[in-house]
Amino acid sequence: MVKKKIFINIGEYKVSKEPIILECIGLGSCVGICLWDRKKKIGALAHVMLGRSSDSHLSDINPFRFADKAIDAMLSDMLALGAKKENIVAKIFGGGNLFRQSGFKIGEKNVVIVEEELRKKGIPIVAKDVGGNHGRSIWFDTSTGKVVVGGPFIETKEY
Amino acid sequence: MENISDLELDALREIMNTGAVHASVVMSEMAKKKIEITFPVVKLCRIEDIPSIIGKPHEIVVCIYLPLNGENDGKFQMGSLLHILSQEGAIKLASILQSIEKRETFELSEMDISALKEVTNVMSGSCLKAISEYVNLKLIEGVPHFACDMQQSIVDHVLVDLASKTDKSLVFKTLFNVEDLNLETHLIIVLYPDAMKLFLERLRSSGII
Repeated sequence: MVKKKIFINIGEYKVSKEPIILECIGLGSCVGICLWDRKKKIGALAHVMLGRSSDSHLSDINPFRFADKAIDAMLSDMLALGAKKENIVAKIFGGGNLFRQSGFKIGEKNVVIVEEELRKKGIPIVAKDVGGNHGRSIWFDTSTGKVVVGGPFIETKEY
Repeated sequence: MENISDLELDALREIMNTGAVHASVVMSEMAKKKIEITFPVVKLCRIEDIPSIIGKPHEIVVCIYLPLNGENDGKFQMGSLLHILSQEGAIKLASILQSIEKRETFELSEMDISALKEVTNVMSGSCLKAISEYVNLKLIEGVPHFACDMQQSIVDHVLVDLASKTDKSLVFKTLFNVEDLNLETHLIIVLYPDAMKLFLERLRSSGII
């Protein structure tokens, strides 16, 4: 049976309790945050650009560009579908620096903040593939919780 | 980001076109080839849509990125300039810039990358000088950076600063075509909201609009 695939663009997130594949393409300094309730098999994926929304105060900015708002929204939607916080785990991907000179610390910073925000919420990070100098794409299967990571310049791996 | 009228958008496009024409002249001199450009596409769009506006967000591209600085002794970042081309295009361009006729490998060497950075630097210098004179606004290109990967994953670095400041941004896109070589490159300029305000102020005060 071929599962339906849903593409998550920058600044978007999606939650599903149906078995589907959630996909993010081209994570550079952005971070793909996967949340999964192991018992109910409810999964969520957010493609975030930045760590904290408190960095900005403008109300017309899409809140889901920011990890803190996206994580809150994913958790809220998952719980509404019947997920239980104690069964939820996280896997995170991205936060690289694709420009060969350093000075682009944003990817690193994003990962640090994503980790802090998940820790604050008590969600354990059970896998991560972050940093480095190459772009990543990820495919999150919400029925198994597994995430495949690949990209034109990296080895394909499964987490 | 304030709303922008069609008249203002047209005026900005004209200015960008002037900049692009100057950039194509220097590119032509360096490559020793005739260069044709298209009239710039300009869009006020959500940050999330910028990779799609640039085109082919999931394809591998070579990208030279330069920050654009300006007022306040050049410390104020006004925007970003991206010179984007396919891997094949990058090899072709790097070769003609170095007068290499026969290549042994089809990977970009340090010298190739240097040549690409240099041409981008010179093109943007010429483009920005033309724009600065037109609008009476200080614009200076910063240090060039190189990346080769999926377009979206490169461009997201450049959008991060904007992402916390504004919902939308102004994006200019011009296509450069190198005669004979079936080589296309894109020059993309993304303006920061404060820069756009300044541009429009100067345009109004100089009577252009």
